[in-house]
Amino acid sequence: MYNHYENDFAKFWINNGILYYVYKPYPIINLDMAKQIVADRLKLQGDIIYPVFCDTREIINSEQDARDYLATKGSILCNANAFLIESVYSLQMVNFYVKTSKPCIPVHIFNQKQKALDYLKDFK
Amino acid sequence: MHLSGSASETLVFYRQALDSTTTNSKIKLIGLYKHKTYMELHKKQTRFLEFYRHLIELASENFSTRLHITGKKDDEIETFGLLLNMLAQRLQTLYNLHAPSLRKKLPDLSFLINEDRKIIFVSPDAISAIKSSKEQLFGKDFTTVLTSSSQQFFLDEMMKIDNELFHEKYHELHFKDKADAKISSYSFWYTAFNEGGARLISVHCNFKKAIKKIKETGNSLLLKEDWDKIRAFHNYILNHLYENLPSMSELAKIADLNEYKLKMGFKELYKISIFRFQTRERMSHAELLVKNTLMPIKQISQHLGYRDSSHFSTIFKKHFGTSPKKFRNQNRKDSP
Repeated sequence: MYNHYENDFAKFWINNGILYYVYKPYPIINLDMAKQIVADRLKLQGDIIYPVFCDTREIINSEQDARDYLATKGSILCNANAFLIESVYSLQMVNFYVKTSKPCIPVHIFNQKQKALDYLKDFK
Repeated sequence: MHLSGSASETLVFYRQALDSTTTNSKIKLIGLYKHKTYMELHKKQTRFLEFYRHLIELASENFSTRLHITGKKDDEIETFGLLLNMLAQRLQTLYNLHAPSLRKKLPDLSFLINEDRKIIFVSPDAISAIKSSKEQLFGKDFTTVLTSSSQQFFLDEMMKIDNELFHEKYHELHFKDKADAKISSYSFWYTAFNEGGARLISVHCNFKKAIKKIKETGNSLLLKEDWDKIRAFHNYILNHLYENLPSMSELAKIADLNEYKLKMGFKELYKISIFRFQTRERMSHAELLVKNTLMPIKQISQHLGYRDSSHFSTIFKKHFGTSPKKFRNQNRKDSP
């Protein structure tokens, strides 16, 4: 089994018990992309549950059904999610996602990578 | 003079220039500064006008309205525009989730008759109310579905309205079924007449009677807070998807609703029963796990909350038409 993978929308890898997920710059994340994201992540994980570090700094926009899909199906084999943001733009976008799509796992938003990783340590 | 950089850098430049120049040059510099400021202000104002338009469109229930977004991340106005677009999408989704009416749908009996009073179209509610069929009603004289007292009344009214294009009438109109029994009684009907000679007769229930009937049968009306509780309960199911659902009475306590409201409200809002919803969502997770992981089927079934893997396989097969093992083999792709 590989421990890293890359598709058109993201790079992801597993390191030290945490699954890292970095979104690439893409105009809009739609439902098909969301499905691809989840499918590829599951292929990488195998049967192990991981906390997920999600770098959303390059996300420009997303569709409602993609967000809803990620909130439910995106929680499969995940036990926590830490989002990394950088700008007000990213913060508000992720905030909107958390408040409206209501992910099924614990979620926190951070603007510092180390704090995000420290948060996820409790879920390893 | 090269004007570039951030607004604060530009301001510093102007201040330094003003201190070291003659009065005429100062006037020119102030003019340039005001012009640049004005342009930025104008751009902001134009953007805000777009936002106001967008908000008014949302208030007018036009949820398909969208603002153009450039993706400029260090711009707060751009961020605001993004949120407005996401809000519009959200509202559209909620609106299209069939905001349920607060009362049960009233039957709508509609008949389309031609110049000779022959029925050429009839609504499903009408067919159901009269306990008949399309085949039995089409081509039949409309008055034959009425009781004798209503027949005469109807014919008298037709004489009065003649070629009147639209006519409303508040009066009882009684229908009868095949056994000539009076089966319904309605107090409001209207008719519309088109130039081709066809006439639409639409009959609606007496609202007071309908509400009384609804209450008698226990179809209690759901209020807004009840629908909010049902939505919260929907999220509860998703957040506890792998746990077996307790009894309806326990679920009602969790939802803070009575059993009837929870059951009926959930079905009306989500078009599926609570237990089927949980199964459907579990199966969608199962599909992803079977297709995209190497997790043993037994482990998947346990992960999803099924104590018995053969029971899980049965449900899976019912959903996808094939066993989990075969499904995996059919969909196997190379792992990354």
